[in-house]
Amino acid sequence: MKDNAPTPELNRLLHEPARLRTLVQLAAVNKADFTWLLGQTGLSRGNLSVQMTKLADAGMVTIDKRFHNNRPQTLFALTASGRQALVDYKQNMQLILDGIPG
Amino acid sequence: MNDAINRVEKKAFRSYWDDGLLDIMLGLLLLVLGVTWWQGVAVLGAIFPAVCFSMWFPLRKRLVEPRMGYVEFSGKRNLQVRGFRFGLVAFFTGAMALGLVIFILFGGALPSTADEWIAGFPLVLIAIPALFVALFTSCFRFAAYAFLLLLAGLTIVLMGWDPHMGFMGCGIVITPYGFLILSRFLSRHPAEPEVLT
Repeated sequence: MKDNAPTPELNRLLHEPARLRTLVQLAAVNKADFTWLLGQTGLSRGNLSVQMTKLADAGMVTIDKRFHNNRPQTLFALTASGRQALVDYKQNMQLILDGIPG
Repeated sequence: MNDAINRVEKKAFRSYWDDGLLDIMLGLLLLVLGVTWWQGVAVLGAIFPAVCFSMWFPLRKRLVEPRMGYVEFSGKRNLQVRGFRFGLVAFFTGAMALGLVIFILFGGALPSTADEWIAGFPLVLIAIPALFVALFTSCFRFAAYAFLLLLAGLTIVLMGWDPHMGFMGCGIVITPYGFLILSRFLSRHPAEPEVLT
């Protein structure tokens, strides 16, 4: 990073471990339900529910509620803007990390 | 970012098979093959893979999915799964065709050298797909099963035993281990009703 280059802005929505972890999990698959994400992220039900609502409100994930095998199921999928946000976040974070001496 | 995402996807795909059902199916298949071979009705054992295959989906839906959750992998991965299934079916069909050709050519009386080794061949036929399953799912316990099957095949050749001994021996080891994995999975993943967010 050049000295006069502006410090890249990190997306604050993604700059939270629980949300970042969830988005990375969703980036690896087409769709996943709430229970799958619970198992893969290790978050609590309440925490995951809150984070997913925030991500959905920001348009980064889609929520599809349905009944599957007579059970309620909430399916989540990463949107194109969510994927782009993840790429931008990584690039910006890399720029910041590259600026750390040593 | 692709490398990191690929690693996450690979880990997720591996965990998809961590319920023990596939292990139990393999163990039961070996036990059934052993018993039917022993009783001289090995043909009945040969249809058991189809029974396993048809049992796996409903069992997974009823027992595993409510606990592990539902996931749709990428289109590329789904293509690989379909290709793998096709490969397994093609392998077993080819193996049966080969067996048939050998039977027609030699009429059950093989040359003496081949006759000594042929007892281990059925176990090798199961070991090869087990190895492919290990490579495909990254669940390397299936490589251990393949090794066990090869070892059993070699043992029965050296000891002059019948193949059913090898099948049953491996089945006796793998089936309880599969149940152990399943019970561990069930205790770690209690089925809770999903709360819609």
